[in-house]
Amino acid sequence: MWDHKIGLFIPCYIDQLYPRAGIAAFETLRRLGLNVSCPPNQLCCGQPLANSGAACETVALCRRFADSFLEYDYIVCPSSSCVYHIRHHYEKIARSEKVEKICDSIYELCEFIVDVLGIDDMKLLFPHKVGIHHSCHGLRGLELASTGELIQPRYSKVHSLLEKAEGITLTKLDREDECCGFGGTFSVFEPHVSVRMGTDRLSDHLRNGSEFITATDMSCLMHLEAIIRRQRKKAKVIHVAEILKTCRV
Amino acid sequence: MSQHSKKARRFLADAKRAAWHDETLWMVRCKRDRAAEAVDDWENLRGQASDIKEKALENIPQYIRQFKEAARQNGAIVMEASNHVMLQGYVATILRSNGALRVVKSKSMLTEECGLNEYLIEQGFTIIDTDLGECIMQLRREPPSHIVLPAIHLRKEEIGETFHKHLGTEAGASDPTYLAQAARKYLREQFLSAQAAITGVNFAVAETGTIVVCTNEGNADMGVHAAPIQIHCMSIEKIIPAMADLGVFTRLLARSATGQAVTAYTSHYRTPKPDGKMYIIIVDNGRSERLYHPTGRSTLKCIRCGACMNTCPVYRRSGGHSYGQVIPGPIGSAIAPFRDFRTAAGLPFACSLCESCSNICPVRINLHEQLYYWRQEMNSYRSTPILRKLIMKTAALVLAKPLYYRLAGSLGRFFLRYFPFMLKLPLRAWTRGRKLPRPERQTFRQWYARNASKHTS
Amino acid sequence: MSKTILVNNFIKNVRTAGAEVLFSPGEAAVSTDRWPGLLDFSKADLRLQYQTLENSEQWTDIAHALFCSRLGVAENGAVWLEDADMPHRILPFITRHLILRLATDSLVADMHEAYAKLGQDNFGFGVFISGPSKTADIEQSLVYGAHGAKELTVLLCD
Repeated sequence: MWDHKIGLFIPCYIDQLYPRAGIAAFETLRRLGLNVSCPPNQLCCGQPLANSGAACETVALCRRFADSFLEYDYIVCPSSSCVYHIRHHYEKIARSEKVEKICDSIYELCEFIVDVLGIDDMKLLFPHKVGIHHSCHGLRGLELASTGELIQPRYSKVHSLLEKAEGITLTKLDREDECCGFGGTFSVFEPHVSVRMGTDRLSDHLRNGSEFITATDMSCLMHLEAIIRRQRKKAKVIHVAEILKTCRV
Repeated sequence: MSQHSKKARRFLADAKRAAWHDETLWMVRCKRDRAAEAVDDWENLRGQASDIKEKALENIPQYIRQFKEAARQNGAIVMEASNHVMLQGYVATILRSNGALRVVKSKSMLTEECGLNEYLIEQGFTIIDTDLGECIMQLRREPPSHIVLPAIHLRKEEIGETFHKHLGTEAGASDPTYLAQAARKYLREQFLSAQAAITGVNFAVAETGTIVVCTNEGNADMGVHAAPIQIHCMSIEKIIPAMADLGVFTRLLARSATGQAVTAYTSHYRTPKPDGKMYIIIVDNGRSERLYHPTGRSTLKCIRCGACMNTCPVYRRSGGHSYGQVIPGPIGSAIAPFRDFRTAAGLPFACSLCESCSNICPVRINLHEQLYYWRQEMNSYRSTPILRKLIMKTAALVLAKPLYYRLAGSLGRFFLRYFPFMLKLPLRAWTRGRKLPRPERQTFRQWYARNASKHTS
Repeated sequence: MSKTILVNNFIKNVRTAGAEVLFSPGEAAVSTDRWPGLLDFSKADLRLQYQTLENSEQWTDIAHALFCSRLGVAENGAVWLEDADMPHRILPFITRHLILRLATDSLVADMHEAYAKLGQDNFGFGVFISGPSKTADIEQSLVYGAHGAKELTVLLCD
């Protein structure tokens, strides 16, 4: 495993707006002793466009993406919605052998650590009260955790990594699997519902004592942070990689 | 701004009502979760239900033929209506030929879709909706906002006012038991004086010609058994092959809908009552088109439980009326484009693609994929605003070319960092309840170029 | 599933559905003191008498009506009635208080078994009844007695 070549995919909005999340993902993988690098010419995966109904415009993007990651054994990405989009939609948008290979080798960061590396305890240190926001694409699309709708054994890959962190208290929420209302362009096509959903999600966290809200998707957190700042609330958002980078294995 | 978005804004303006609506439907969803957990192998049951429906849809002409033969042998009169006009005509003819002027009707989304009430009233018939929720909506001359809980958007005080005005209950009275009893009294009179009863249909069994109707109130039975004429209106996809299949669906329906183990009444109508007449009208009204549509077909599996509405975080906050459709919520948005592509244009986007609806659907309709599909279709449709198309095309171009990407990124970050107010107007949809993000000094790519080498492991 | 579990599940679910369960050692338990004017439709002569119901006024005043069932479902507390059990189809709905008598041997575990047991029986009308008539259409507040029976009693006998 440790000889494999890992390509880190940093999505456009993390690159531009939240580099710290990308840096944390990179540092986490390096701390785990992996041979990780970022292909210099990687761009956007096309998710925002496809979810807005312009999947047909993204054929070139998909091909480009596949080319830039072809040499890697695994692709890891700190954004569950991008991973979901690549895994579930790429073959429909631009089917090719290269694209198929990419779909099979891409993983969300936590998923990669738990399922591929098989690491159970990362010896994290994070003495804070943390609420996990399950991003829908990670939760239902990548099955990173169980949902209330499906009658199945309860699990959460993110929870299992974080709960062992030294000093951490994980918040118990009233609604564990509710959407935050970001939804890409949904947030601007339906601003009122979107803000209401985000406000409700935020209240759930505040009511139950989260000091930090973390997620596998920076986009949900961007939306929540924007509401926190607007309403001058106290909680901070933090990408899960920023907690994982405290690992001491 | 889409119609849905505008109406959602209006619904949310009454923050207290909106919060109540959300919490109440969330409670129904939680009841559903507990009811489903209490069943061994719930997920397998969903799979079975989906398979039965797929099988029924695949062989629908054969099952309809079988159903018609069996029903006729049972003594029912079976008719087929290819659209809403034919349904209206058939019902009016049946009523006239039997001299029936007063009609009671239990819940039927199909007749709602076909505008049956409006037509019959226009033709001089008296038609009374007998489901309490629908009765409230009829008195208020409003459409239902939910397919199982028609009056869920109303507070009891509003219902109290409506009843005071129409049924003569005490002014200001809003106790649900008091109001429900007043409705019972009023509707009993309607049942006992009705000359015909119309019902919707939950399931129609091909092998035996049996019509199955599920209610909690008992209104379908009160109507059907009291009036000499019974008319069951069903759309083609209500067909299921065999009685044994009912075992699967009756276990799923009420648990998914309200979290009950079963509805209070699961009624099986096979033959007319002595001296009574039983009519069954099988309606297509655009369903055949969906049947042969590669994506849309799966929406015909729907058993109208309403679970996708209860779980939908958008529906709970925007209210059923925001969809402007007979059937609101995720399933409504997935079938609306078949009814009218243009009025449905905003609906596939009134969704955060959270997938909760697909997970909860007892017949496993891939609702989120349906909506994703319609987004693609809407975008290639002529009437999509040119500006939106242009933005998409430009974005696709920018995101595919490293130089453009870097340029656009620096520009955007520059404004966000130093002149955020200049972006406020173009991004006002975002900034209405949110701040714009504050980008850091460097991008990840810039950091990586400078620092990655220091990290060599 | 053992019979005790079956019976216990049934009782639990009948109660959840808002009905009461009584244990009946036989006819004696059906007391007209408890239910004045009780119409016991398990008796063939009464069924015959009510078969020729013409006037709807005869229906409206029924307070307590008893029917005998041959099938009950443990998973949801539903009790089956069909044409043969009642002289007129409206009776179990129009009575204010519905009483259903059922032998514990008639219980099945779930709806699959229930439909298997019904098989291809030629009932013209049949209904599973689980609890009294109910509605929650006003603010999701549960109210019993929407249109059908306001109260339901299940008499279980061996």
